Amino acid sequence: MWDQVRDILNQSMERLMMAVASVLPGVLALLLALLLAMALAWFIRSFLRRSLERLHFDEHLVRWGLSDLANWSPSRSPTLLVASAAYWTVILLGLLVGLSAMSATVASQLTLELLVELRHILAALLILGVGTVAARFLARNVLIGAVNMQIQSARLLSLGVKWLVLVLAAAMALEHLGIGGGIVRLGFGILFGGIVLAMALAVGLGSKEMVSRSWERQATKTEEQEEPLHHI
Amino acid sequence: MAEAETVAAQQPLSSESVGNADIVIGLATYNNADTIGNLVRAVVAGLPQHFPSKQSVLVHLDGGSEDATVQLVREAADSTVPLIQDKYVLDKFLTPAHGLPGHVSAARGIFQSAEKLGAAACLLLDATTQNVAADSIHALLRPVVEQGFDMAVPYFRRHRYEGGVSNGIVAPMIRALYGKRLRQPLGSEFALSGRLAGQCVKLETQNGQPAQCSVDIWLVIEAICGNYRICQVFLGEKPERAKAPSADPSEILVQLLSALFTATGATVATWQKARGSEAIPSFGGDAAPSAEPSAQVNVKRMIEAFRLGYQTLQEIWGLLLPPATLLELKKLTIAPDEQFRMADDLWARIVYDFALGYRLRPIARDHLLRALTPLYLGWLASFIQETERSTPMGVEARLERLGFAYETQKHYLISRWRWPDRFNP
Repeated sequence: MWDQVRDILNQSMERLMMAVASVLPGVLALLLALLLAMALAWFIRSFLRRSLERLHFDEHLVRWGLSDLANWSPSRSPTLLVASAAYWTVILLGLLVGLSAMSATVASQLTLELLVELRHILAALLILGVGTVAARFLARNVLIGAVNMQIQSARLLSLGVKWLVLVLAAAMALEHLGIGGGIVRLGFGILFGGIVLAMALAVGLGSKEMVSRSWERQATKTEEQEEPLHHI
Repeated sequence: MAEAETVAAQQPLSSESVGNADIVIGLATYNNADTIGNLVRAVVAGLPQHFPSKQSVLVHLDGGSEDATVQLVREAADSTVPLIQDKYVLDKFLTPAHGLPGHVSAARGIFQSAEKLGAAACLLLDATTQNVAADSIHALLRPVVEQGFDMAVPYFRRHRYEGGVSNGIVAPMIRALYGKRLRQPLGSEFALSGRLAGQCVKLETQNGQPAQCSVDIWLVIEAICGNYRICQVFLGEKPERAKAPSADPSEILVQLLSALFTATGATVATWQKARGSEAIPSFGGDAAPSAEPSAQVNVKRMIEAFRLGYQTLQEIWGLLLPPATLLELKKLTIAPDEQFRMADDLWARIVYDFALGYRLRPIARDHLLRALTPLYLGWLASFIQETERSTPMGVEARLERLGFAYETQKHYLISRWRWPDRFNP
């Protein structure tokens, strides 16, 4: 009996080893493909960054009237943006090659589904990207404008605008991807409404001095009232 | 140019039918029915008297007035002075802080007329001027017509606190960079020689885009860089304008300084070589600020605006100003209001840093210039407090010290301009 148990165990070990042996090359191929992709991606990113810097790509964009892209980019450098995009594209391709090497069936199914979702993912990324850039630009615009209008809660207003736009962009991206559904819509509504209320309070409280000064001027017009200065 | 309108009364003529002229009086209008009649009558009445041997022509460009401006000009124009009427392209979405919308198109049209007519002198007038003195108009023309100058810039007696941007930024910067001491470079009236008018027809910036606002700054810098002979003419009290310039300092800074800083970027080779400054010939007398009692100006609010700017815009100012300057500003924020004084050297360096920032664009240019507003208000508050009890000559001396500070800090601008990454005071 113990011989039979030993035989059964040996057979199951053999099956396991054979299964591992059949999968292992694929896994190793995946890892190798990823490593090679990372190396290639790093090389391409460095090459692109150096080449674009040598070509003064950022300055050319500004001269071609795309200065806002430079101002709005998170890193304030379109060169870095292009280099990073190329880096992640190569990594993604390397991952697909690796998956394909691991299992042709799995990879092809995955690739098919990925391509279908890719359109939505790219659109969502674009919405998020544009939203981030717009949020930063608008926040700065509001900050400077509010300071020049001497609104004390300028920073709060600016933050409110930034988060308004970011929340809007995130909700649009999630809606596009079909994630969350009603919960996302409800959450967005609550968050958006909350931010708008906070900003209304900030404007109301922050500009109360300005409003009261304006009312005082209306109510007590004397000869010695303040005249606007001509700055030119 | 578009074809001239043909209507009754003083029939407008075309350039071809007029032939040649010695003096071109250029008028650009847009809904100026309130003031244009008196202005034109004052001009045409004095021309035969002051310049009897010169052939003068009145060139009127209108931007599509919806009132009776065009007709009033025809009625006011004397038959002894030929009238050319035409249109210019008006940008209704652009509202300059001073002057007309479409200032550039109008000025270019007038210069083109002067070139076609072979005029030796061209006078640009501000159609919004009320109660114009005929003698002052001709006093502005005389140096160009009779003494061979290429440009005559008017200056006026003004209240000591008026013209903060002109006194605190534009005039001292032009003095330091280009070596010419102009009292009031910003204005909407100039007399130019035919030679200079022809040169200014292009009115382009370095990037090939025409200057949208502040034609005055462009004209002055163009004249200085081209080594034209410039003079300034005192014309008495500043006349009132029917349309007051904008009182929003933020908007004014954006428009004026974008022109000034763009011109600075385009004329680097000239200003980096210029050393010191010289007074330019002046005619007509002294223009010390008026001695009338101070206007009620809320200095406390300006100081508060500066402090709010420091609290809130540090992140933006930190992109443009070096740590040493930020430290000086911090000291100012904690100074008591009565002792709030911004040193001339500090202010000059701040303006130069913003000029450099305009060139390097760490942030959008519009944001950059608007972020200067609290700093400008801080300087203005400091200036007002310092000169509150000064005599008119004392104010002039104060402005002279400010101009000298800009000159002594010029080396700072040159160093930062040449090595923006390496220089860090």
